[in-house]
Amino acid sequence: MIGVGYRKDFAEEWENNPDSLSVDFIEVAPENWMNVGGYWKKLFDKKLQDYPLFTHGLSLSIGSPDELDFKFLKDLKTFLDSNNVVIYSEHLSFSKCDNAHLYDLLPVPFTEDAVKHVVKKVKSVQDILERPLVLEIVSYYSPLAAEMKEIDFVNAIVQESDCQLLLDVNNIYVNSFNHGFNPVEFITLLPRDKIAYIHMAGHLQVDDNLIIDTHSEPIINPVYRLFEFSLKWLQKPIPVLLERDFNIPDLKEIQSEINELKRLYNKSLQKEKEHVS
Amino acid sequence: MYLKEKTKRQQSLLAQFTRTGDQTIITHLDGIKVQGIRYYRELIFNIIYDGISNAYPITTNFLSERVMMNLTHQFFSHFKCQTPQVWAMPKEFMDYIIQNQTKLCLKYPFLSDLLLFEWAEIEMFMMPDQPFPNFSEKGNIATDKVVLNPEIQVLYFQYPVHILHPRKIKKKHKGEYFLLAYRHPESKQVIFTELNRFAYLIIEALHQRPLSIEELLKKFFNSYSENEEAIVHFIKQAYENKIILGFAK
Ligand SMILES: [Fe+2]
Repeated sequence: MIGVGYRKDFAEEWENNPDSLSVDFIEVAPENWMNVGGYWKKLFDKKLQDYPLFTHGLSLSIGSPDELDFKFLKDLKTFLDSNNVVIYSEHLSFSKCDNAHLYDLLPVPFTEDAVKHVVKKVKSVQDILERPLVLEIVSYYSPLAAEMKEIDFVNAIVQESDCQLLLDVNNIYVNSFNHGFNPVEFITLLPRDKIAYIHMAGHLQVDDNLIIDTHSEPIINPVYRLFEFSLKWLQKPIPVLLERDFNIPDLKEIQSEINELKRLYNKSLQKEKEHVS
Repeated sequence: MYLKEKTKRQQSLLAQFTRTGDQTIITHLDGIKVQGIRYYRELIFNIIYDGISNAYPITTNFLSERVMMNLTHQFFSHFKCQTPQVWAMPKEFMDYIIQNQTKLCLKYPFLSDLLLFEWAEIEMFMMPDQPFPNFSEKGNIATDKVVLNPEIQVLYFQYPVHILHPRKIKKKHKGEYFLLAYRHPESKQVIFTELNRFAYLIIEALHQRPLSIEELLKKFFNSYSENEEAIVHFIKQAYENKIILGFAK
């Protein structure tokens, strides 16, 4: 299953020419569509008749010191339920602090107390939404007051909260570049059975030792290679999403990236089958 | 509370840094890469500025990018953004400017009208679909009660920000301007149309409940010299433009 992030930028083009993009599902940020109506929602609703909806939230701020926003969660649940959302994913980061939204993803300190704090919040979210939370390992440009390794931080949260994981292959690549570790090794240390969703995207290298996760460029080859490795290691079919949020090209170019993902996906799973038989 | 004070404080400091850009905060952050931390401020400020300047293109063009960036900086460092929906954040910017930028609003007395006008377009595009009342498309315009499109908003301005470029607005233009914004029921496009005070009152009355021309005349005949012909003309036009959907069942 290969999906695409649904965007207003190409909504009209896709509506007027439904064959211009061939995917298995679409993904949106619920914050962009909750309590929204009108022209764009009408186009979006049409697409929902043909495609299953996956979601990738922005404002939950699971890693924030702040309490959860229960009014927001209530609206979110209404949106997820009424649109038969397949997966609700979010980020293992914080985007709100001291009661102020920041609209971007900041790194949570890798500490034992933060693990406990996040676990408690994840459990509340899962109870309220009555569905598993699928948390994405985010890209980050600096650690903050870390007392443990990132991999141990992530694994402790998954183990103690029983949430699932979104493996954003590009994020792991970006982090391995920015913080100097082996991305393959990192991935193999993750709990394989908890990974429920994969993201693929492009990024921008701003200087010799920093990559910014812009989602504004095509996917680069090393990230494709890491994707192939991840699929073989996972040994199971899994939904894969192409994220493109800025500098959005025409649908032809998006489709060619989707096709490449499909090709690698089928190839990796095929090999796996042969291997098993 | 599982979170230690120290962890909480580090997160709070990082958040403060991204909101204010205050470089002195960086020295209080533990175990960081300075260049990466600076990027967070830049990325977040750009998200906020892009959101605001895209929501208010006329205002940005009029005040200049430099002034708008400065206002964005004031807003984001002092105001705690409340909406979890980033597209709605520019509304909080507008409220902040109107409430806190007294000097600027005195210098440009039409500024609040201009911001309201620009925000109204986004709000009308994005607001939840309203329940449509029962109505029939056929009826007798002279005798039947007419039903108003529920997806409308009436804006009241003191300056003609919807007609003139802000550079051309002078003190002498101060007056009373009514602008109707509505969603076309089929295309869902947002349309603006100017109203006179009389048309505004008709819309307000129809907003309460469907009324016939006769009832509207009764309501306004004493206070206004408008005749039946003017009302009929307005209702007919509003019906053609889908401001009025049809007739009460
Ligand atoms: Fe992602």
